[in-house]
Amino acid sequence: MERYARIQKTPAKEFRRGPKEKEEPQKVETGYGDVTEGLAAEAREHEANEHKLRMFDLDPRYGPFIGVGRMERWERAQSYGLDPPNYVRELLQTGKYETEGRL
Amino acid sequence: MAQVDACVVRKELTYEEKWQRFELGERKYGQQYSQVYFNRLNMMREQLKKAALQRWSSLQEDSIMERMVQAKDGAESVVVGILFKEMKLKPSILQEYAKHGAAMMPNPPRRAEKLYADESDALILEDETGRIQLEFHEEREILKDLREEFLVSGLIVAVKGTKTKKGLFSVAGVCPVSVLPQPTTSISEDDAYVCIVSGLGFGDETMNPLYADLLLETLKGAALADATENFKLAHVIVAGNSVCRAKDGSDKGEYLKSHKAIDRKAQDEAAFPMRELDRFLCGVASAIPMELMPGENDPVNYLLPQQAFHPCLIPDSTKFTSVHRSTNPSEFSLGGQTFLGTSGQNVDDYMSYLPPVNKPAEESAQRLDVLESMLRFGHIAPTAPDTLASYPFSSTDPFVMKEWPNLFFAANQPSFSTTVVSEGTSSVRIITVPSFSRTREVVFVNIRTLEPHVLSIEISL
Repeated sequence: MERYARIQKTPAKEFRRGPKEKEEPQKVETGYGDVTEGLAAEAREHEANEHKLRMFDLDPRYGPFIGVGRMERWERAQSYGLDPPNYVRELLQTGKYETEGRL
Repeated sequence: MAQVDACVVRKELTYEEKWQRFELGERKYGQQYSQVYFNRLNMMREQLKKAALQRWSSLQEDSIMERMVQAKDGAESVVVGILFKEMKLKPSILQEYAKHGAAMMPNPPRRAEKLYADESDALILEDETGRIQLEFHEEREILKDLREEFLVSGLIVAVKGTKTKKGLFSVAGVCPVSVLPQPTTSISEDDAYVCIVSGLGFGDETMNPLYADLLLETLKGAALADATENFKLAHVIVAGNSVCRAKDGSDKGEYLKSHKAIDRKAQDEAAFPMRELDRFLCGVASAIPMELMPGENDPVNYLLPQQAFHPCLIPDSTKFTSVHRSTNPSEFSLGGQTFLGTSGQNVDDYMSYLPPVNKPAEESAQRLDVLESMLRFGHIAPTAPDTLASYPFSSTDPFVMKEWPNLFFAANQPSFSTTVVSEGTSSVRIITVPSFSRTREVVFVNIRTLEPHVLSIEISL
């Protein structure tokens, strides 16, 4: 009979790789502890980046996000001098994240 | 042998189209209208802060708040935001739905049936961080260049006042953008005229076609006795409502009664107005360059900015390069003077917010005041998209004026009236162009002085 061994992974502390970026959105306490526990490191990072993009979406300084693409919203905020964070643009340019707005 | 007089050449004016920002490319209707207001506020915010500093020179820089939420109780501050006027008489889609439920009429009537102004109206100032109700203080400065009843929803203003403990904002003064830069013009030395016509209303059987024919002859230069005078006319602007309203009941909110395919005879009847218009435009275009703007009754899209007539609608006229099909609103420069104009929907809608006027003279004065107010507040159609249907723009608001034109007109108005709005070194000539089908009048503007005069066509049989 095969046995299934439970492998305990160490909980992740930081998701960041590379130099620390200056402006970071506040980390949201979900109350469920680390929700990315159990995922591979790459998926963890993807999830963290998605979280940053969602925080950008919800930020009222840059206007409503329904119906506008994220890149369009970033460029719009930039042209109005609202100084949106650069890491959002970089993340969107990698092409791995959702860029179209929700309706 | 017949003697040939000296050859008279029609005056030409340099023409440049500036209405590209009103063109809609691919249209998406998934956005909400909150985007429009966000864009409007951000486009005008910096300008308004400067205008407020200039108007209230005793202010310190730090009393201008970045956002409304920063205003403190008891301290005088200046806040920039969008006005919203709560008007109980203004039609509200939610109230309509609550009343009729699923049996609600599909189309709202195109023109407001009753005016919205009421004594109980309240003004609220909003920005991204919050909204606050305005209370006009007894000792507020008298607004010399605008009357308070002209403050309607959708205008971006800077308001100076104090936030009271009751949660209201006690207003000491309201500041519009006031003045915008004007492009420098190189004005021609000779007199040349531009004719603005609106409301031709082709296809209306009750209208005597002789009027339109006479107008055509005048524009071509055949009607007046003096040849040199005729050929000073350099450009014609046809500003909206060139065909009459379709008689299918859509203006009363009814859809076509039968959904069967309409037969050949009905098709011909339906196409008749456009054919008449095409014939007229061919006549004009063969002699003189012209601008064709769409209007409320024309077969173009309903939402503002209305797009140019499709070339297939006026096939013969489109063959002339002298026909420029432009949008509504439209901006272009003729002979160095910038013209900005609409087919009148923006003014008509703004009028619904104002108290009623009984006499025609007072009404035309009020319409001129509406145009002046649009210039001072820096926005062509402030009531869009609230009561004036407009496209849900997501990254810009093209109705925001970035600079003042030299001539600002609104067409299809009940009568002709004109004045000059000036502030410092800038001055703008504003004109209300009468509707031809109602008044048989067209407006001629001298390009050198921008002075208008009216040509009236009468037929006595």
